[in-house]
Amino acid sequence: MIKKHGVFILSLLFIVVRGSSQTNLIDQKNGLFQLTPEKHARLLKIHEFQIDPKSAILSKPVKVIKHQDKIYILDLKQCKIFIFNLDGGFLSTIGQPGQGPGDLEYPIDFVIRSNEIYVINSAAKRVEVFFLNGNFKERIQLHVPQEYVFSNISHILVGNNSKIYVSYNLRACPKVT
Amino acid sequence: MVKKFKISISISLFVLSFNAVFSQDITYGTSVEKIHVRDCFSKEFILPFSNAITVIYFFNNKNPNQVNNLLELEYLYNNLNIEKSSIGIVAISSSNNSNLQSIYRKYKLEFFLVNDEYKLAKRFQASCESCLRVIIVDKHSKIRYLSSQFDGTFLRDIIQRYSAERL
Repeated sequence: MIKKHGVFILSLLFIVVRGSSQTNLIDQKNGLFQLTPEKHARLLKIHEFQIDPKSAILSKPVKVIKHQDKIYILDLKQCKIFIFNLDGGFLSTIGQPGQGPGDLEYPIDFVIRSNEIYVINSAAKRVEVFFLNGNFKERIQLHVPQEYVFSNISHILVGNNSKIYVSYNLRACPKVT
Repeated sequence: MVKKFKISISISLFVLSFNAVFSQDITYGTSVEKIHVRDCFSKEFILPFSNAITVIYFFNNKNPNQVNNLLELEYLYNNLNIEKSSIGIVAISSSNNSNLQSIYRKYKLEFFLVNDEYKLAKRFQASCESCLRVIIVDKHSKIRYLSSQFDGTFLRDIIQRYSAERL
């Protein structure tokens, strides 16, 4: 008797779980999975443009920012920020692969604040700061606790007071036994 | 007693100042002094190469992943859009010459494979044990790249960038 009840409860649970997951799938709108739609940002306007492959080829774009009348795209693989006009015309690049001042090494995120561009050098745990014209301004070394030396920075924000906030994917040092 | 204490302090100060002056951290921009080296076939050459980009790869010959990187280095060596004379690759490991020779033949390498009898790993503050190390030295014998990761694409970009520099 108890066994039968158990099977019935389990199958009921299964149906409920299946049903709810199906409901979630039906709730997908315009290709977006929205479990709680009120907590998501809405796209009000989509500006589409075509990049001429003869002028620039992106290999791993990780972030796009529209600032004033330009579009800045960070390419993780090429270690550069590509700058385009609003029609997709290529203008210039900022940064190059390397480890010197103003060079980029696995840049994962960037922000534009007060006409300055802050780029994270994820592996090197540094922030490179450029002027909007692409000239290098300064390098800021971030200090990570020794026990989290294998952690990588993933995001950056710059506050109104020019304070830099970064988030880490915390990864502790592997222990050798 | 006080005299002994003074002497010991002055000796330790001397040692510390000596270390500060003569021991140099290997980092971006550090100049590399030339050294005569022999590869596993006893062929002599000077490290870093003159008028060329030098790629130095420290690896553990018992670690298959690190040994496989030799293939990627070989691919890089043969597929860069620069003249072969403007790049030199040296892979360094702690082993005996016959073992390195067999690796050289197995992977059909064209660059130098060196047994670390010259203590090059110590000189470059690297190791041939657990962690690999890649160092790129430019035409002016200055270190331009150090990493414990092996990223072939990134290495290619760095090599091409510095090979384009004029002497």
